[in-house]
Amino acid sequence: MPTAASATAATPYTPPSDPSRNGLPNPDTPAVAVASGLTVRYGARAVLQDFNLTIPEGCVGLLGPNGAGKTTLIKTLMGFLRPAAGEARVLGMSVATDALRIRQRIGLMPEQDCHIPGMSAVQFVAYAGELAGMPPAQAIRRAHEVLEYCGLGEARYRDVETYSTGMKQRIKLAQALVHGPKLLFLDEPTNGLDPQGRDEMLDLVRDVSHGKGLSVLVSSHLLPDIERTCDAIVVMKGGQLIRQGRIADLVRITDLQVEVDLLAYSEEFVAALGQRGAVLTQRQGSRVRFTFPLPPEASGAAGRLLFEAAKESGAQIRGFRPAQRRLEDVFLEAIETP
Amino acid sequence: MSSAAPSIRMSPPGPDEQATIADISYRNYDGELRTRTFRWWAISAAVMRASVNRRRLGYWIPAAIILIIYLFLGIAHYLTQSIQARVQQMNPMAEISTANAYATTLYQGVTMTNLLVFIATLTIGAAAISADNRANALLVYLSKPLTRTDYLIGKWIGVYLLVAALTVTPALLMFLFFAVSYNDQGFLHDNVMLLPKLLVVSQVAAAIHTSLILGFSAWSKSPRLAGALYAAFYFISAILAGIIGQVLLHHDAGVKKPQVAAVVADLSVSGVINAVATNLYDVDPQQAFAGFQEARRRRRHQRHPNDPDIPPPPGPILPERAGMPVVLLIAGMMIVLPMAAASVRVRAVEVVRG
Repeated sequence: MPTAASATAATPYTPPSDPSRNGLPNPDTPAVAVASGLTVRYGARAVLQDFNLTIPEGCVGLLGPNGAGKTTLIKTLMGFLRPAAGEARVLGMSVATDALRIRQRIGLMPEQDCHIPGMSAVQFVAYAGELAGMPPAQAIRRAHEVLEYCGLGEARYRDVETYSTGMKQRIKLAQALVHGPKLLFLDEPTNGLDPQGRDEMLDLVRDVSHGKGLSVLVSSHLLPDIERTCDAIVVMKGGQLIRQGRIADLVRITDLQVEVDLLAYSEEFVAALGQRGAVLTQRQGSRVRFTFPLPPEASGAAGRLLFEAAKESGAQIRGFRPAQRRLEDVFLEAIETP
Repeated sequence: MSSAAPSIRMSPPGPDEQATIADISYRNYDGELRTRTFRWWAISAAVMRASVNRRRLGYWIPAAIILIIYLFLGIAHYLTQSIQARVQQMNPMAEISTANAYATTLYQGVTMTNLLVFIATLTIGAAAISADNRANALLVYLSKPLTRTDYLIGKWIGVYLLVAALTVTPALLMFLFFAVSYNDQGFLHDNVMLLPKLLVVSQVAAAIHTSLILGFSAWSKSPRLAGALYAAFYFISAILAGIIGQVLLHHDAGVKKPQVAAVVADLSVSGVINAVATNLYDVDPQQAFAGFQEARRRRRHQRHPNDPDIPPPPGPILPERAGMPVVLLIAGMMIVLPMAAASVRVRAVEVVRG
């Protein structure tokens, strides 16, 4: 009997000829999803307008303020929404013509609570496997495996409707994994979880997306979650891609920046440091950040300049350290850029 | 002498040791993935399991009563045929009409079990889609390689097979009884088309009930509300169609008013099912139940011995019957329109037009 799997030989992905579209670097790894000139409309309103994106393999975080178009992008990549213009390809297949073949090879963990009523966890997950095309015997075997993996082994025979919020999140992950997808979309995977449940879910996401032959796209508002699980991020705003790259590259500081805690903010101190070539780059209360015209390894020289400026201006330094960029800084910088 | 027996470890492995009894790490699945037909069947099988496995009395009690009704009709048919045969044996000149007796019995089965089939459909079909709407299950279904048409086909087949079991099985058993008991009188030879007619009538009835309940279920998030809406439609359409049919029949205007009245009277769930049965079995609805009405009339007369005469039977309510094409058109609309309405409602995402 011919199987759908045998008929789904994906076209190999070819990197775009112009790697600097949107001024973005070409990702080093092969892409699992590509959007080129994608426009998606709800009626007259364009939610994604001439949108270009390459999602590399691995774990990628999808960030953006409300209304940025993150969920619309996921729905389009799933084939739920038909693009008004442009093209999107997932695992080498076009969302316009191969939506069903795409959905056979991807898994979705939606943000909302969802389950099949009247089923125990193992029945639900096995049924999800059968819906994806797995033979019933394989589906039930696999359901036990993924429930065990997701930490629901003990509760697998309980009705899903009796599950706590944390357990419901886990079973949504299990039903998305059961048919062995190559790409997983996770929409707010830690929604409504307590700190311990959140830690466990993030560990699961991290584990499943590394070394298992599975790529993951995580959409979340929680930057620490993304920082902890993902290798790269995509930042969207107003239906446009505004920043993309590996987290390690984005948070890296190439010049010498020092964060200084003052007893009280002092204009004289800033002016004194300015005379020594340092530039104030950030201020948050009495905490200030300066960029020095020195190589990154010359932190000792920067310390001397700080003390000289403090002595000259009468400012009191409570502490200072080499500045580090967090993902939050990258995100805020990206969305505040006009 | 010291024992060399291997020591048995009674404690769990320490934090630095690996337990080898089970590997629960994630493994990929690269096995067989079947085609769409199997996915429809997975949905249908789930609907049937949910409806039947839970000891739903709302399905099983009507099923039992339907079988009892057909049993009663079979016995009545047997007795009638036996008495008529005895009469003819005693008086070979007596004119006894047995024309269409088998089809009439089957027609009686359809009309007498209509309400029970409706109740069973209500029990198994009201939650079929509405419960999925409430639990956001469509996100699960449609994130898999399924279209909303696949989803609806799967649901439809699941409910339909259960309803058809109630309409087809007893009618087939009755046909089998006729074939075994009356084949020496040429039953199979004289009623070649009775089996296909029986199958069409039973399946049209099942299809109408299935489509309507799924149509109401798709537009609701509560199984109770879906059931209440379907019940309201079933009864109100029957009452309105009856009243409007009578008004049209007795109103003076219009040349073709009996035919129009007959069509209007069929514009209900039970009306159209009865009309399909009437046309296909080619029976007169009044005559089909004449025996029951006569018996009732005689019972009433015995309660009032002072009555001078037995009152005459009431005249035909609707002298005309709607033609087969019109009836099939109405039946087709009752099957297709609810599913079209359901298809509009079943979506993976709510698209707000801005």
